[in-house]
Amino acid sequence: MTQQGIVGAVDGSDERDSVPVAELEEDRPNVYVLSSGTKVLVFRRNGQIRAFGEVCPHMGADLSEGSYCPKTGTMACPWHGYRYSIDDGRFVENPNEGSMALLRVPSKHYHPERQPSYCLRSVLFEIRGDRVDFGRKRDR
Amino acid sequence: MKHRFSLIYELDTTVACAVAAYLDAEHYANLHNKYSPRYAVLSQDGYRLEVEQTWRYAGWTIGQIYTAEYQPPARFLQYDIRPSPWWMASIHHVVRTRTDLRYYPTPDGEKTISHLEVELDIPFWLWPLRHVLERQLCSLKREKDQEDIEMIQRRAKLFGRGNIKDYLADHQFLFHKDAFVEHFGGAVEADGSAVSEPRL
Repeated sequence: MTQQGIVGAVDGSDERDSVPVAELEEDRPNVYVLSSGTKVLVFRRNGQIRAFGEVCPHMGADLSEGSYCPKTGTMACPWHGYRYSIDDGRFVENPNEGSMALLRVPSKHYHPERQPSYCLRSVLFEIRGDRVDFGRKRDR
Repeated sequence: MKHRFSLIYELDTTVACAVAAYLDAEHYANLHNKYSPRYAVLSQDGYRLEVEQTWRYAGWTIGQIYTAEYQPPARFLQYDIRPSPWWMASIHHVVRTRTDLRYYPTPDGEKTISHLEVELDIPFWLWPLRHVLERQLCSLKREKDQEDIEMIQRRAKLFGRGNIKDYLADHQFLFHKDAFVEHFGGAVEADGSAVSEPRL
């Protein structure tokens, strides 16, 4: 259910990548590979545009292969199911907690966190006219 | 009547990574969700877990319950497999299955040998189908291992081959985490890769 394509540099400068805003489908992940090779997930939801890197901050899965829930505005990792809000990239839920609750007790080498600090890596962009413009060096 | 067979092949990863992936149980119901989208631990007795795996079929939630035993550092047994709910028609009523999986390093220490021994206790009237059962079990094992190895290899690309740092983090959940760290966490470089494989 994701859209994927190579975003060519504009103006022949090879300095930026951009996609038309109108091309972004509402409330679903729009997946692009920038000319730098970085894969980004771009969301348009409630009039806002957000972009995140593809790497799950938990274990490194490719989030573009995960599932998106329009109702909650969350993206789930395909490996472990961890859910992240696409409003701010923050970790929202680990769906495995209940089914393995018996073993989730602190021990010598395991100290469970109530609210893990995982956060999707935002990819910065600018809206230039009718295009979403990703600067190569703007990733953080 | 007992039918025994082995499935042995190389995994392109270190033993520490292969064991970490096995004990990283949170991925079972997600990465492998086409086989069973629900995986729950029902009870624990040391390294023995009673596990229930379920899936939906024709409107019913069905599955199996079994004992999964870890023998550190790199051996995994599964036995006492029975259907869930117990009254459901299932091959587990008539065939008793026991599996014994061991991981050990190749002579150069770069890869892992996955060595699975399976024992099927089959009634005489199913004996002619033993090789069909064997093929199905081997196929399932290879498919799941392929999904695991794709995960391991993507992590190797991102974080370096043999990097187990994420698995060792205090907050990271693994089955039998303390045993894993005791055996594999002692010799880890700053980048998280194992300095040497433990003695197995």
